[in-house]
Amino acid sequence: MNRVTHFLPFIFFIFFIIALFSFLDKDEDQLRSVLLDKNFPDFSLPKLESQEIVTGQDLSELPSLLNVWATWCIACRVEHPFLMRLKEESTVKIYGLNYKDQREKALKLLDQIGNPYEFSIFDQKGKLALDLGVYGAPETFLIDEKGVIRVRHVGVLTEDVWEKKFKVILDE
Amino acid sequence: MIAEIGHLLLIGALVISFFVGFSPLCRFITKDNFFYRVTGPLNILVLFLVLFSFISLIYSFLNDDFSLAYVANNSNTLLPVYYKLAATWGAHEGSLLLWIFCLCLWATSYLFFNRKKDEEFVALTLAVLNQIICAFIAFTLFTSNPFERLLPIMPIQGSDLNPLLQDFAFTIHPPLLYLGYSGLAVPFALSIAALISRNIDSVWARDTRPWSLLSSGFLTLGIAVGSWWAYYELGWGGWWFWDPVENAAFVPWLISIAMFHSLIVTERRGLYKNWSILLTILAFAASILGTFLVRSGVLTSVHVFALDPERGVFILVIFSYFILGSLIIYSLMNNKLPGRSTYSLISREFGFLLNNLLLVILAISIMFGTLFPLIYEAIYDGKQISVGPPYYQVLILPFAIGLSFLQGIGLYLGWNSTKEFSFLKRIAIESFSLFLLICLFVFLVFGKFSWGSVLAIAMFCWIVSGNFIELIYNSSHLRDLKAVLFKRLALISAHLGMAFLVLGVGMVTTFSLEREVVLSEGEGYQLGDVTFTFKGIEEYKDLNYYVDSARIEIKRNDTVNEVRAEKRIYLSTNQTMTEAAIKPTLLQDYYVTLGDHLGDKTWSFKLQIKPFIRWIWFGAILIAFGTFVSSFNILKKSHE
Amino acid sequence: MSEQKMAYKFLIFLLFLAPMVAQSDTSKELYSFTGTEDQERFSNLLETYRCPKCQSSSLAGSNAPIAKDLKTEIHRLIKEGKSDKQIEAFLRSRYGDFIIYKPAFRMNTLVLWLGPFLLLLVILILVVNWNISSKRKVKDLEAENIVKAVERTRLKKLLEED
Repeated sequence: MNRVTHFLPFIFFIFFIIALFSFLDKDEDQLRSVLLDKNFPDFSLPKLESQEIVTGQDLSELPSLLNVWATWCIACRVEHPFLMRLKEESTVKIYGLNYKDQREKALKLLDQIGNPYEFSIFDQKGKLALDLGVYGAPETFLIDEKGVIRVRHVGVLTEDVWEKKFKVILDE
Repeated sequence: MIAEIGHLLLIGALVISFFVGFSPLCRFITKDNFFYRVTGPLNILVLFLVLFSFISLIYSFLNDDFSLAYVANNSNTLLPVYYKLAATWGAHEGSLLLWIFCLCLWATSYLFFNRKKDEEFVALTLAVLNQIICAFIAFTLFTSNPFERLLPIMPIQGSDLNPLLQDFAFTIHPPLLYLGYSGLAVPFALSIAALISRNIDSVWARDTRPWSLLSSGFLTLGIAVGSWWAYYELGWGGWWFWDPVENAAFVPWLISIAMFHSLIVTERRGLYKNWSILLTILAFAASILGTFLVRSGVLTSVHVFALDPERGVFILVIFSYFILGSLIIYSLMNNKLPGRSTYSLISREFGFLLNNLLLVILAISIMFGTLFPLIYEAIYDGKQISVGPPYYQVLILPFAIGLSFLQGIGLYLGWNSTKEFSFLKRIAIESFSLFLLICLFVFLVFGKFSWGSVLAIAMFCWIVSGNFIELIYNSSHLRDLKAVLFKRLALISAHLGMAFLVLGVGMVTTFSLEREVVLSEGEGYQLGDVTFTFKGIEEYKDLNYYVDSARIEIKRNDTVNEVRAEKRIYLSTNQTMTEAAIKPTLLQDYYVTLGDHLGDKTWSFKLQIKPFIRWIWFGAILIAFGTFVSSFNILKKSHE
Repeated sequence: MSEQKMAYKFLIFLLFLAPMVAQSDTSKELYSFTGTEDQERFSNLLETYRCPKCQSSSLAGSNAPIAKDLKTEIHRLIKEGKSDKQIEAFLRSRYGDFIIYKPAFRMNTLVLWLGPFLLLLVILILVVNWNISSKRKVKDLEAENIVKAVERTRLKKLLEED
């Protein structure tokens, strides 16, 4: 009995080390959304382009992307060309969520660099963003035909991310 | 050129420390005592090789040698000289060199104090230490080389040292902390030597204790300086966040305290031999685990150095080798005679056992809490959870109460059994009287009441009674008292330090006030019984930053002070830093941070009052002082 | 504060025994509340919730835009009369367990909350048990020795009588 107890610390540490090695494998460095597989939250906000109020019903061309962007977001400029490409090449529509921004600035920017969105929701106070669990820009959501959120990506939307995270779900 | 020399010197140190590490094995094969004798001098050689390698890195910083990637990433021509020096250990690669240098210092110190002792034992200890040094040099050279060149394209200007780190406390925080972390290698090495030479006795315990005390002391100071720095530098008024990297230092600290208490029992009573050995292994394991957590990127944190799984793998391999290796030796060669546990349950032995139980289980729990989000994510397929201050505060409380209780009566428990119990009644009376006095005082000054503060005051009084008041009572006259106080200076200092720390923590946690306000120039706000008035704002440029500096007047009763809360933009990185304005007084700190510019001459501010916060660091200094005095006493005695 | 002032203050408190009401100018506060209780709740909640964007910071310790938004949200919810539990549900449904620094007390976190204390208890029992049984063994051994000693002297006497 005594002999075995002396080996207990050794045995414990073997398992401990194996666990530590397994921890090194993770590569996710973003917060996972808790809204996955849940319905898109209700909202009632004006459009960016006009004073017209839009609600969840107006996100009608599903499946679609919802892209959170702002003029103060530098990384958004990086993903912008790819969004423009998606608009041309893909059947998936993109809706914008203009996050905590100024209307004139935002419209001017879209004018300058191009508008990949069907329309943008003007979420000046960030209320819808909060309901979506957004914590920064850029972020992109995938909403399926039933209006359910399937994917949430934090950071720049690249070709790679599009293929691996979004397209795989769309192809189902 | 200098950097290349530094690089070569480090490679030289790698080779020689490797040789020293396996010298005893050579001796075992050849039976030639030369391999024992050579460990000492070669160890000193390793120290000098590492020292000059380190100096060459410092030289590169002071000369703005941006052809070195490490210098380019962490320095800048505009950086003040003293920060260029500190930048040497400001990031991952350089900090490793500092760590290795600390290890060498410890090994050489051990050699110095033990040069006349048994040749075999000293050689074994040095061998283990040099194996550790070798492992870390290998890690540095293969995955984190500070001497890597950026040639042929060398930047004209460096990226600059992170502004958060351009600070005095930061220059001393890593050296202190690393001395503590690396120092735990010495008790570890001493344990391996004792296991291999099959001699775990009182002499071993007495010889090991000073090294555990010294490491503990440096850890205390390192952690305290880190806490103090976070307080005034990060600008949110907090002093401890249970951040994974803070926990990574706190856990070995707790274990080191358990270790030197357990060694007292091993020395005096020949008990807990296996347990003491295990503790030295555990402490060293916690130390390397801390390095792993900080440098591998498994845990995201404000502190994390380098997010690189490859480095994580290397450290884990080092961890596996030393910990599994030492545990195999332990399992096979530990003390087979069972210690006789025939002491009374009310004895000093059992008191120390409870102390150890509480400290080690607390340490394990904190480590578990730190790793829990990772474990949870692994089991539940990516679901994320957080474990933070609210959890740890609940966790630590019962342990702190238990430890405080033991600390009050520990001195009066007898070895094997306690014959006399009158001390209990006296300590209870002494602490209750002090308790009433302090509660009254606090109530008058702060005007409020909370159970948390009452508990903290109670713990404070209990510890002070047992470790000071009762001692005074026990001495019949002044000369007696002086002798007792001097003999027990280390113990009194360390235990009283704990009392101050506990009181400070309790009071600042329960009595802090804070408010975010919007003030225009000339406007004031009253928080508690203090009025903060925004006097005006100035803009100017300093050494390497632009600054908005707000003058705040702090008025309490008739005392008026003026402080400056600032927002700085560093030229090189465009990073914005908030410099909090702090007015410390004996009983509380007034803390103001500048917020956003909301309009013409209107700014937002965060105002805080933090009672008793300085007592925390004062307590820590007393604790460190106590451990240093104790270790010097033992080293002096054993050297005679 | 002079001795006299201290005594006066003490008397006043004895007489009124009222909690100290914050005589603060709420118009200047960024997040204002009526009464100290809500203010304390607010401070407490800001320490309980994590800034989702920061690497490691509570809402109280962060200047990130999302942290400010969440502070405003929590302020609004408190003013609407929502309880701490409701606020927790609100935040959890949007940001998940990640945003709560105090792990929920449920089946899969039981080991976190109870583990340390159970471990302490178990080891304490084992250690005390070992101690008591060791002492009993020693006592039994002594008793045995005494019996043996008695028998030895008896034997000696018998032999001497011969």
